[in-house]
Amino acid sequence: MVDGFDGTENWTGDERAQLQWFLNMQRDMLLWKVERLSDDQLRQTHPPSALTLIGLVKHLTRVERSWLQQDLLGPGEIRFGDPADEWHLEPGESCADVIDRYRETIRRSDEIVAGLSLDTVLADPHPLQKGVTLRWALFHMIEETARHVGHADLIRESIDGAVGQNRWHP
Amino acid sequence: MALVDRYTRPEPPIAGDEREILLGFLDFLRETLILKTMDLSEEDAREPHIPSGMSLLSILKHITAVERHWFRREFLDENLDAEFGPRDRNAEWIVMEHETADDLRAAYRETCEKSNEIVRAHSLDDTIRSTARPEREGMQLRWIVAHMIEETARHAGHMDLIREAIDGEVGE
Repeated sequence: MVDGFDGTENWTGDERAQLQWFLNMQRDMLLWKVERLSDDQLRQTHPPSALTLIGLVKHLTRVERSWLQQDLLGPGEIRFGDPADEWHLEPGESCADVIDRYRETIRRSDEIVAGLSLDTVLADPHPLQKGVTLRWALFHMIEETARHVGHADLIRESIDGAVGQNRWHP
Repeated sequence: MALVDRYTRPEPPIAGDEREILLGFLDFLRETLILKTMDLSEEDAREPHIPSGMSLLSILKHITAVERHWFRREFLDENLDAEFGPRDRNAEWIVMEHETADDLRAAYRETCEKSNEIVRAHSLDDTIRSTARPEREGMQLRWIVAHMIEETARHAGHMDLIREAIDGEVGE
């Protein structure tokens, strides 16, 4: 579960509270989709797609770090080495490591975002996205995470038949 | 929305106020759904190809009902029963024999245009008018648009894998 997130709908809060709620809901749905599976199941592909559940978690960890950390603050403030392979486990890496790192990354993203206005312009965005604000980046994170949750829905269903919207409204 | 292909699909605006950014993301995702249904036979578009039973066209039909539900029945409290009948959450996933991909894309586009008109005619702070679910009192238009973004994006994820299973086509 995303730390401190209980799924209680927040539809009367301010813009920031609502954005944060939607992002946390997407993150939590992904964490829910990877629960109660073995490492082999998390690494299973479902041809023709090459995607795996653990690959989605690892990819979204890199995406969080790019958008809500490094691109937002700039490489002078924070810099990560890109993973050698953001879609697969590397030697010595376990599924639990990848999931823990995603949760830690979420905590760190939220700390950084909490201190900034939604109008903050990203310090070091992709060249095609120069001028984008934190508000834009948060919506992008919501839609990208939601789309990968859509992938996770079908992959999980192929693994053990489990389906459902989220842990509160399964 | 004009006819779109992969080269003209609108990207969300980088500058712009909150409303235009929200609608920009939503339009981008809506056009993504439409793109994922194009250049296929009617049969491929309506067959599930995956265990879940969802097909590209059943998702399109469902999300059309969802747009209409949130922006018109819930936000405006419009009674659409005469025009569309009461919302039927099972039937909205079933593509009838006479419904073609073109029909369903046209209905989706028309519904989305209507949704955008509603969003542009109101403040994002305006609240839901339907009182059918009292616990939703105070829900803002802002929340409804953001919900449509997350739901449309999740269905785009479903379509990604269905389309890949049909002809191998992938892409954002």
